[in-house]
Amino acid sequence: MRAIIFLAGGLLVVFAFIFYVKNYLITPRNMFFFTVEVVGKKHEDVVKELVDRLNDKGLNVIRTLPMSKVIHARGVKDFPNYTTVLACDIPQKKEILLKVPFMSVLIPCSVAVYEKDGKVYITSLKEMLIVKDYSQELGDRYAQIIVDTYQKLRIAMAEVAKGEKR
Amino acid sequence: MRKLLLLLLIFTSLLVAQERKEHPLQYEEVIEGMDFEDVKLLLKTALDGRNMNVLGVVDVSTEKPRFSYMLVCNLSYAEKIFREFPQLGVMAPCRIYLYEREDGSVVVGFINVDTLLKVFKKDLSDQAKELFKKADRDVKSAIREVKGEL
Repeated sequence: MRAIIFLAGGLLVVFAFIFYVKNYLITPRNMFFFTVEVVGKKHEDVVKELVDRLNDKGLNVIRTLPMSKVIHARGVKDFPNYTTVLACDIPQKKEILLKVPFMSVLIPCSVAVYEKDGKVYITSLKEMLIVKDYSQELGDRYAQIIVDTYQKLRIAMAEVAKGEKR
Repeated sequence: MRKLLLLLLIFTSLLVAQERKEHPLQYEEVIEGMDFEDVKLLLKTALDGRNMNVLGVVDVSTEKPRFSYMLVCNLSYAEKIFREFPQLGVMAPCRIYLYEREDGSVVVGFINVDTLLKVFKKDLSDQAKELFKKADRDVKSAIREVKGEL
């Protein structure tokens, strides 16, 4: 009897694990996007703080695009706050882009700050699948520069989300 | 289980494509017999004419081989897509890059929308998918206009 219970329990754990991996870990959203939720801050404050942090980390911000403001101006007033921050203007961008032009999807990086269901989120692309796909053309050095840049970006996002002091 | 299989399929196709030196996320077209600056100007005009607003043109290299990219966005499409899938905003504004090859031809490239739609098939509504396809058709027809094919 104990063996059956043990076996059934084991199977249940295995199925629960497969269910978790399938539905929450390995999804296109999780593989391509890194998202943090920001609690207790307004959209515009999050954008400002994010811009400051990115600049502090050398991930220079090129432009801030107030998408929702432009959409509101076109008469769609119920569109939630949405800003895209273009950053990661790194010194090696010219070398990287000349070597692998498609890296222009990653450099400069776009970071989206948006509201959904009354909460503020920050999302960036995850670079790993794209860098892996171009690893031969990029070579170790440039692949590592992109990975490091995105790592710094994720740290900046997490710091804004946690409200850590600069 | 379907989701798992889909991701395995994507991962496998990435590996297979890498073996063949293909990149499923990339779409490129070659324009021959035109100067880089002319291609850039004509492409910008053609995109603007299709309501694909060019928010900026960034010249990364102004000496040969020249390299520029455009930040392009259609806000009507973006509004509808971002409402249901706000994470996709990290792919906006869409980057369309242009670079010069040694033989003087110009390559125009951007993200392969067909692959993108396969990856996010389950996450997008039919309306959002159709908007992506429209945007893809707009950009491709702008490139054809630059080539003088329209």
